[in-house]
Amino acid sequence: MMVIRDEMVNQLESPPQQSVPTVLRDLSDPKVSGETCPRRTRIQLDWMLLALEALDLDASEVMLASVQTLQLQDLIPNRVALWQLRNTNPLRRSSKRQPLGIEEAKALVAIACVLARSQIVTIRQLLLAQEQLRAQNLSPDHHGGLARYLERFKQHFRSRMNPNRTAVTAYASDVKLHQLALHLLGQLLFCTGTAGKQRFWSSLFDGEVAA
Amino acid sequence: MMTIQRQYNLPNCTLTLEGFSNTDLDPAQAARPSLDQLMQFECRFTNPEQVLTGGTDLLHSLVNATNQCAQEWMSGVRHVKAHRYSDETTVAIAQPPEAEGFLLKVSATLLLATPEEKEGDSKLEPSQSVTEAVELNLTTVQLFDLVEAIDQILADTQTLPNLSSKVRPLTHREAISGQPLTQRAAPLALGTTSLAVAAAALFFLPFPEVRKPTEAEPTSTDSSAPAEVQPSPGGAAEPEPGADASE
Repeated sequence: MMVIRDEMVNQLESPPQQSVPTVLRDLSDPKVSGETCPRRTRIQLDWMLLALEALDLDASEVMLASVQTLQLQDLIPNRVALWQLRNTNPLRRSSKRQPLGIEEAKALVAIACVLARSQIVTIRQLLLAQEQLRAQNLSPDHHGGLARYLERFKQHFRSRMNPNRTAVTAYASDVKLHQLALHLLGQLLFCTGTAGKQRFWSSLFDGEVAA
Repeated sequence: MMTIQRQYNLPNCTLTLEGFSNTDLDPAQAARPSLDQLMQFECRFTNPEQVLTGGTDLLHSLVNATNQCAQEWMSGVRHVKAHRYSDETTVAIAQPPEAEGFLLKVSATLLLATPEEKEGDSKLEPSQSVTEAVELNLTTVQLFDLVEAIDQILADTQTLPNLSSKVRPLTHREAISGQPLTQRAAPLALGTTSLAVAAAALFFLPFPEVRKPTEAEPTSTDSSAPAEVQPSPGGAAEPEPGADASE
């Protein structure tokens, strides 16, 4: 009788095993120290989401909506939780030096890929426009959509990143910031593919995992 | 036995595979028979028009090259043993330094003559025939279309089921740091120099004068002064007489 009671107590005390959301199951766990994301991973994730916000004015609302669609409420219960996860980027003004767990990072990757796929036409059009402008030696200002994206990205970046950080001062000039914005746009295109989620996830840990 | 032809269309790139099925099922009756053996593979780029025709080796090499290039582009981290174009590595995609876009280079050993070339009405110059390697400049969107078309083949369970490509992050040892050695050595050099300068400056400073504590002489002349406990040479106060009582 005592044994049965002990088992019942153990069952009650042990927390319920969290089930991994379906959308995250195809992302493997990288062998990183401390089971938290490295610095480069946190920066890249936040900047990709920043680029998506520059593409779509409603991106932040779509992000929250996709949390429900992808059934990630356990990892990101509300708007504040999403904001806190993004603030793990050490280059943000409001960074609190919080770690970013692997599962939370997977959730952000899944959200980014869903948003990127919803913007695939815009991303392709902007990249093609940029190729054409470059071939004609014209600046991005000559294309309305591209100019708007770059301007919005610049505003987001300047208002949210800490200018006192060395990694941020590298983008002090508009030219460098435009290059970053266009590079992120190209990376977003690769997130839209059949294996885009796996490629994005894997690239976040390049050179960071143990053998 | 019927030939199975399968096509993967993207705006800038079309991949065509021709081959046979291993199953005895009549391919004509099956809804979508499995393509198990590849006979011919064709990669057709548009704008500019360029066709790469080959066999299994060309497809395998393209799979490896696109996988590595896409990963490198996404992370900015290069592989130590990057597949640069050589006699052994017959397909390579690289981002030329100080240039936009990507350069795809395919060895002539992997290429077969296209039907147009066989008929002699090829748009290619004679010097660009399959006796020489083919070089193609790809934009980001064109590279993505190639990567996506190959990913669709890899994801298709009815097309070359044994063909696979592992997407995994590079380990510490496999990755080359994005910064060159000179930049990585700069903090070390700066630290060492600072230490040397500080050591040289401190070398000329005089040693601080060590003042030994003067021993206070017993003051037997002044009987009204309160009795002071003199510290022992070791710095510890002498134990109280009663302290040993318990031992």
